[in-house]
Formats: sequence, C-alpha cells, structure tokens
Amino acid sequence: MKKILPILIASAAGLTILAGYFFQDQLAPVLGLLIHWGILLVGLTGLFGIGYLLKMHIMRIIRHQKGGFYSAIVLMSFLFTIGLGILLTPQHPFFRDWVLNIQIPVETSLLAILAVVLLYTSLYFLRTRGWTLMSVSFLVSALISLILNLGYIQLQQGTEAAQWMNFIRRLPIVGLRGILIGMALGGLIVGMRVLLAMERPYDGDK
Amino acid sequence: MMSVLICPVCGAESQPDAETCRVCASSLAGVDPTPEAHPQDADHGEMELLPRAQDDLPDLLRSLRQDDEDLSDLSTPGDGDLPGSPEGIEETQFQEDIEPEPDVPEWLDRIRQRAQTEADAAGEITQKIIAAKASLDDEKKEDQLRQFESLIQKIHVEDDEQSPKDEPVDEASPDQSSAEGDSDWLAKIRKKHRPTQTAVPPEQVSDREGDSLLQWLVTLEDGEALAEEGDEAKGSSLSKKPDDTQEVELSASARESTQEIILSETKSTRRRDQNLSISREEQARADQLSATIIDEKATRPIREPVKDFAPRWLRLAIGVLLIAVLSLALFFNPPADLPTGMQGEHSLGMIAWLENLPADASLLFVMDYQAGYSAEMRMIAQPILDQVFQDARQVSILSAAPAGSLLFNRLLENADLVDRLTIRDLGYYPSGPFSAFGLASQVNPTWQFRSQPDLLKALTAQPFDSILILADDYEGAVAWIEQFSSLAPDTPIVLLVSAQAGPLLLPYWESGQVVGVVSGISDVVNIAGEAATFANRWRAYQVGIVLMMIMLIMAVSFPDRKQPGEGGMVS
Repeated sequence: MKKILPILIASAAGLTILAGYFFQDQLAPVLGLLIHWGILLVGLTGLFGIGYLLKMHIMRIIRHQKGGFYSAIVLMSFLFTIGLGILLTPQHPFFRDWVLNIQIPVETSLLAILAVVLLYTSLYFLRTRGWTLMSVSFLVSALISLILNLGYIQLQQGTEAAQWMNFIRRLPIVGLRGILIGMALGGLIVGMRVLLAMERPYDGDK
Repeated sequence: MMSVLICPVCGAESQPDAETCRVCASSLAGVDPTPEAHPQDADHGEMELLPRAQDDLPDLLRSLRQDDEDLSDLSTPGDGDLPGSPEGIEETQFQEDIEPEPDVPEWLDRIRQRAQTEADAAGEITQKIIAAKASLDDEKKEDQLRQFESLIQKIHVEDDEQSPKDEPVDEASPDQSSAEGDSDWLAKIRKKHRPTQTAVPPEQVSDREGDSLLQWLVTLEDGEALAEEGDEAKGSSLSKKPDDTQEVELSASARESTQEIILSETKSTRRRDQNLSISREEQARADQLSATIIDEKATRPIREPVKDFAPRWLRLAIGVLLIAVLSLALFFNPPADLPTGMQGEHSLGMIAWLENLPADASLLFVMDYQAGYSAEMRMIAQPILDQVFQDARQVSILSAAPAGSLLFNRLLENADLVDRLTIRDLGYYPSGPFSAFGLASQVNPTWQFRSQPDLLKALTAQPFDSILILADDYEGAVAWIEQFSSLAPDTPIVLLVSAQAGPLLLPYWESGQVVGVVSGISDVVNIAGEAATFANRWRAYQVGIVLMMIMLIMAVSFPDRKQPGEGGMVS
C-alpha cells in the first residue's frame, strides 16, 4: 500500500490532466484545483529548501565547523535582505539596487568564466586534433557563424547571394528541429512511463 | 538384553512401558520395542566392518594376510617376535586404514538400525546413503580387480623376460634380511612362499619397502590414484628408473604360487596430485601477475621532453594584449556605423507586430531570465520597449525568475518609463509550466477555474492582446510558448531572448506559434540601426569576434604535439 498509493495518485493526476485537453467542459474545475495545488507545492518546496539551508548554516556555526565564518555572513545577508524586503517592499529603489547590484555582477562573472572555458575548449580541441575532418568542419562552421554575426556583410534582399546567405543562416535550424523533435519524443516517453508507473520519480530510489 | 522404545519424533529412548516420550512427550503408541544399544555394540559394529572390507580385497591380498596371521600364530615370544614388533604395528595400522568409519556415535548407530528396519523419512535418507556407498564400493571393487589383472599380466610378462637372467637365490634367514633393512613379516612371507630363494639383493630393496607396500595396499583399497600408478608403472621400466622412484619388489619364481610384484611409485605423481586443484580465480590472478611482470620487463622507448610552443612570458603577453584590445574597443566610441537593412525574417515579424499594436493594448511581460543576463537583455529589450511604451498601454508583469520583478523595474528605469506607466505585478510563479498552464487556462473562456486568486480573476475579464516573453534559455520560453499557443492560440507571442536561446526558438517562429523573435545584440542592431545607443558595446562585440576567429585559426595552424588526454595549456 505504501508503494501503490503514490503510483495511484500520480497516475490519476496525470491522466486527469491529459483527459482535460479532450473534455474541457467537464474537467476544467478539477484541473484548476490540481494546477493550484501544484503551484502551491512547488512554492512550499522552495520554503523547505530555504529552511534546510538555514538549519545547515546554523548548525555549522554552533558546532564551530570549518566555514562557519562564511555561514555567518550568509545568515546575516539573508536576514538583512528579508527584513529589508518586508520593511521597504520589493518596489523600493534601495531594495532593488541592494539585490541587483550584488546579484548581477556575481552572475555576470560566472557567465564570463563560462565563455572563456568554452573558448579554451574549442582551442584545445582544434590544437589536439589538428587537421582532421571533424576539426575542419567545426572550424568552418564556427567561422561562418561568427562572420555572419559581425554584421558587415550586407546583401540586397531578393538577389541570389541573399538567398544563399539565408540558406546558410537557416542551416542550423535544421539541426535544431531534429533536436526539438527528439526532446519532444523523449518527454512523451517519459510522461507515458510515469503514467504507467514504470518510472517513479517520486519514489526516491527508482 | 533390555529393550527400549525409540521415539519416532526425536529418537530418544524411553522405557518399554512408557506411553509418551520422556524428551518430547510424543506418543509412543504403536512403537515396537527395540534392543538397547550399548557402546560395546557400537564397537562391535565397527569391527563388523572389517570383514566387509576384507571381502573387497583381491584373493592375492587375502592370502597374504591369512599367511601373515598364520605365521603370527605360530610364532612365540621366544622367537623374538615381541607384541610391539613392527609387523604387529603394521597390521594394526593396516586394519585401521581400511576401517571406513573409525568412530560412529551411538545416535548414528541407532539411526542406521532404524533405517534398516523402518521406512520413515530419516530411514529413507539413510538407506539412500547406504545404497550409494554400496554402489561406490562395487565400483571400487571392479576398478581394483581390473587394476590387479593388468598388474598381474604385466608381472607375468616381466617375469618371463627376466627369468633367464635370474641367478639362483640363496636361502636367507629372516634375521639376515632384517639386518639389511627388510621387514620381518615380509621376510617371513618370503620364507614361506619362496623357501629356496635367497634374500633380495640389497640394492633393490630400500629401507621403506615394507611401509611402501602397506601404503600401496591402503591406497589400493581406497581406490586412489591407481590409474596413474598403472600408467607410471608402464612408463617406468626395470632397467631405467628415475632417482625419485621407490621400488618394491617381491621376488618369487614364476613356478610358485606367489609371484614377483614390482611396484613403482614416483614422487612426481604425488606432487601432481597435490597441485591439481587450481581455481579459475587463482588461475586468472596468476595470468594477471604474469602479464604484469612481462609488461614491466618490456622495453619502451624513452620519451623526449616536449618543448612548449611558446614560453610562459610570451603566452602571458598575448593574453594581456587581447584584454587590452578588447578594453580599448569597449571604451573607444567611434562614429555610429551600425548596419541597417539586415533584419532577418523573424525580426521583420517583430517590426510588423509593433506597427499593428493597438494604442490601448493590454500587454503581459513574462520575465524569465537570470540577473546575469540583465545587460544583454536590457540592450535587446530597450528599443522594443521604447516603441511599445510610446502610448499608454496596460502592462502586467509575471515573474518566472525570483528577481523578475526587480529586473523589469530596472528596464523601465533605464528607459525613464517608471513614472509614466502603471504596472500590475502578478507576482512570482515558481514553476514555468505550471504557471503557464494556469495563466493560459484563464485566458481560455472554457477553462474558467472556480478557485483562483483575485488578480487572475481580474485577468479573465480582460484578456491580453499580446504576450512578450523575455527569456535567457530555451526551456523557460518553451513552456510559455507551448501552453499559450495551445490554450490561447489567438494571443500573439513575441520573444525577446538572449543569443544562446534564440537559435533553439527559431523553429517556433517558423511554425507560426510565435509572431516575432529578437535574439541577441546583432538582431537589435539590425532593427534599431542608427538609433541604437550602444554603439561602443557593439564595436567591442565585433572586436571580440574577430579575435576569437584569429585564435581559432591559430589553434588549428599550430597543433599541439601532445596526445589528447595528456593535458597542457593552449599557448
């Protein structure tokens, strides 16, 4: 019963949502209720995550573990931010600047590091492989994409050259369509597996 | 003899007049009394096994044993045969060796007795075991007889070959044989069966031949390694014997009842018997060890140290130069030279949507990008927002990212639109697909939910004219596109997305689910043209792209001599 009950709930909810697309008049109230429950549960998981993080950092400070200083900074920042948001409301310019002026530089730095890593990986790939079919194909594709993004090539619309350029620009979309179709099929199969209880993400170890 | 009742359940003994078992209290009704077993009976049972074992012996061995017993009976203590004489000890050892079960406990003896008389479960199992043992004994007997027949035939052949060369053997006394290392009982056997034959030449009889004979007899009875010994005996001739060969010879003329038996037992055979059991795992370990030793001993070419293509200082200088060039391009503000008329078809769709947007249109902005993309998204969205907010349009925002509301306020702040617009904040929806489905169902008149927040109730009476999705990745935007295009297909959807999300979302524009897409800085520049206010950033973007192209070409022109996986930095 302990295993069957989650399976029944998951399958019933999934099949009800699926049937709602075909029987909209009859199942609309039930679907609304399920959607609101879902949003509520997702929000609660966020609160649980915050609570778990707070507990972890508090315990680290109490037990004088390594990194306790940083945990203290995290706790103070959290308490200050939540207090400020409650007092000033999120629409206040000071609160907005307080959050974004810290968050934006941190995340932008991470993205800059990611860009450097990607460039380094490309260079390493080309240097280690040398002149091979794969490396030359990668190099040609990258160069064409970068040149087109430079914006220096301007062609009169309607000419044969412009049509060729549009063809080249559309080439990546062909591959992207294949990727999207694969992702859709994968999502469909995973959904069917969950509905048929062959996949149980709610089971923890399955 | 006193009789007892044996419990059919636990096997315990009880008095003959008892109605229940004294141990397990089971009913003894119908149990027949059986004679009480004594330890002497057990010993007697063990001794009864001896005749059975003797029956297994071939006739020749039985005759040898009978003769030896006769001699022992005839001998007196005055003849020098002490009770502890070697033959007496060997006889005892021999009898002990042929006992199949030296020590049988009392309970086992009772079970066996029951097994022979009763057909219950335990008795059936024991009877099966006894039957299996009997069949094994029969097989052993047959093997022993076959081996003996082959040995005797071989002895006949060898005797015929050696008989002309045999010298007349002098009759030797048992004392003389003992003086030369022979066993007394063996000498007596020889004396009885070969009265005219002399003692065996000392060089052919070792000190241990009596022991070896006993060992051989025991081995013969046990049926162990007879086939191998037979093969070895065939292979080892009388003329040439290896150093580790131990020979036992019973000399007798071909005319007499006993004949000469030449037995060869090699130590190598015994060694092979000990090394036969090698498991597969042990064999695999041995093979692995051998392979490791061979691999360690293999000769390998000495690798020459590979010099880096460029020294460290040169690589550092190149890095500093690249950063300097990028910085100069970023801060250098050239005259506006932005391309125009290069709009892609998806960007043209965005322009057409802006031109046809009603002045009092109700717009929904879905904020689904992280704070790290705010600079890029601000450059992308700002030209569009300038045109959208030229008229006083109703604006609602919904955050799919935690900081979505703050990021939208910053967008408006940069465009100086904060004071001119009244914005309705629908809050933060933690899950994109959930919120997209919930909101799209409000737009659809069929999907009117009974329980919903007040803000959503207000939305149902006033559906949106268009939805603008600001996203930095593919997955967030797709959830909104798919839900709205299925539940509210008449609501136009416009995408303002980062350069990394744009290519993956273009198929939705081709399918008609999205009316326009602006992706990355290059699309915005093509739309805004001369009106764009970020010319210096665009210039830095171009310089960065050119530098990246140069580095790619250099990388493929100067390949690394190291093999992949060895590590190392790109110069």
